[in-house]
Amino acid sequence: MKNFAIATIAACSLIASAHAGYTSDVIAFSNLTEWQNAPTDADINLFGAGYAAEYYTENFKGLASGSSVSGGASWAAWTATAATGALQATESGLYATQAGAVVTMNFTAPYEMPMGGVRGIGGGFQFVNSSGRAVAGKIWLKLSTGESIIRTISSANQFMGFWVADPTQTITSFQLQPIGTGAAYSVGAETMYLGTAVAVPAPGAVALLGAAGLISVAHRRREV
Amino acid sequence: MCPRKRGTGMKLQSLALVGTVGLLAGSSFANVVSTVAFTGLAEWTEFAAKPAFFPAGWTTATTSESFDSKRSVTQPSISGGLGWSSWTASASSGDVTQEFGAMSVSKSGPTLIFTFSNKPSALGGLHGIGGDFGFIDASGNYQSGRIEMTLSNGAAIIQEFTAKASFAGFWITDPEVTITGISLKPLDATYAVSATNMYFGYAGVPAPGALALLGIATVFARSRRRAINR
Repeated sequence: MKNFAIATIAACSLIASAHAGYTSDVIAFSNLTEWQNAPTDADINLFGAGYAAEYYTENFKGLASGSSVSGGASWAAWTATAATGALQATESGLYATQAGAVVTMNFTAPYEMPMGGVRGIGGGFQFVNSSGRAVAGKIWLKLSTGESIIRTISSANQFMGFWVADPTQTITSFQLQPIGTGAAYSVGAETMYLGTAVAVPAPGAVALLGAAGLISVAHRRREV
Repeated sequence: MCPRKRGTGMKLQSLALVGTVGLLAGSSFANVVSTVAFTGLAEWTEFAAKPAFFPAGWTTATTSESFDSKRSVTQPSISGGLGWSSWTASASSGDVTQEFGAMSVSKSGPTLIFTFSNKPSALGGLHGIGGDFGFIDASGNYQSGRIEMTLSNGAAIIQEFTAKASFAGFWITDPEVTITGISLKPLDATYAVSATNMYFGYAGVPAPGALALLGIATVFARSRRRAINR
């Protein structure tokens, strides 16, 4: 009886200690506004204290087509390739020239961990047919971290994206793979959104800097 | 006193052996996929029908849980399901409620947590999970809102759920990782976060019982063929 009671208490405490939920390491998004607002949403708490998001938007304008296409700048530098065929920069997007080809986007800038590198990616991904018109299809967006999302893109420029919350992980590349009927069309993006985390000085440090500045000014006036 | 857990008598509505694995086609991907998120039930179901995404020799199966026509109950935890799809619902604070055809937290604000009792195994287990999620107001009406759905392995999706059948789900293709739980954190805390339907996916080596059944069926078919040939 006593053993039963102890076991019961243990079982109950296991239930009672049921956590506040699991911690998100890599978060998928299907809406651009949600993706853009995530770094400042206190409920999501994406980066924790001391970091803010910096964004880069790529419209693929002014790029030359080829087997490998590069763009971006600084932390957002990228190089895209297609598994077969080449890539075509159309001034309104970047697409594989061959139907069904997987497009890979590599991020080439050096980074330091933790919290370094490209931490957020997203895009208006879609298919185009041989006439260059947007068509519906299914895309598998795969991150280098192992997480991925499959979504049926029913209209032009529909959003899919990710943020990496785990400070020890970063996004070094992603792939766009057409699946199902999507394999009959060329996959690509009209717009690509990238995000990183930048350190922001703590309020205390800012106050200290301000105080030091004031003292320095006062000291200089006294000397004059 | 320990709260009494009440089974919900889940019906295995559509236990379907979806496929048997042939090739490990997924291994050709440069980016090794371990977790796949879905925003549509059709895509989630279709993924299970392509067992090439799982290790060779594995099978997949899906089943679902509807909270419709279930007896109303509010308590610290509620359990249901069978075998690999067994589940226990709880809240990060307060009770959980089974009412209005949904499983929900009993008040606005807390996170709804499902834990799965299947033991993680190299031979398979719960690898797929999904659901129709959203919010319930005090009158039992469905309300839309944003939810952060997080798996026990850290993969998550943030989505606005706008209708009773708004779906979000995952498959884990890594054979060494099974789903031991999910949490549904409300990002709009006006109403109680809820699930109206849950979808469970199994991937793994067929259980010995299933293998025995397959063996019996094969022996029976052979003896029948021999009898016909005679």
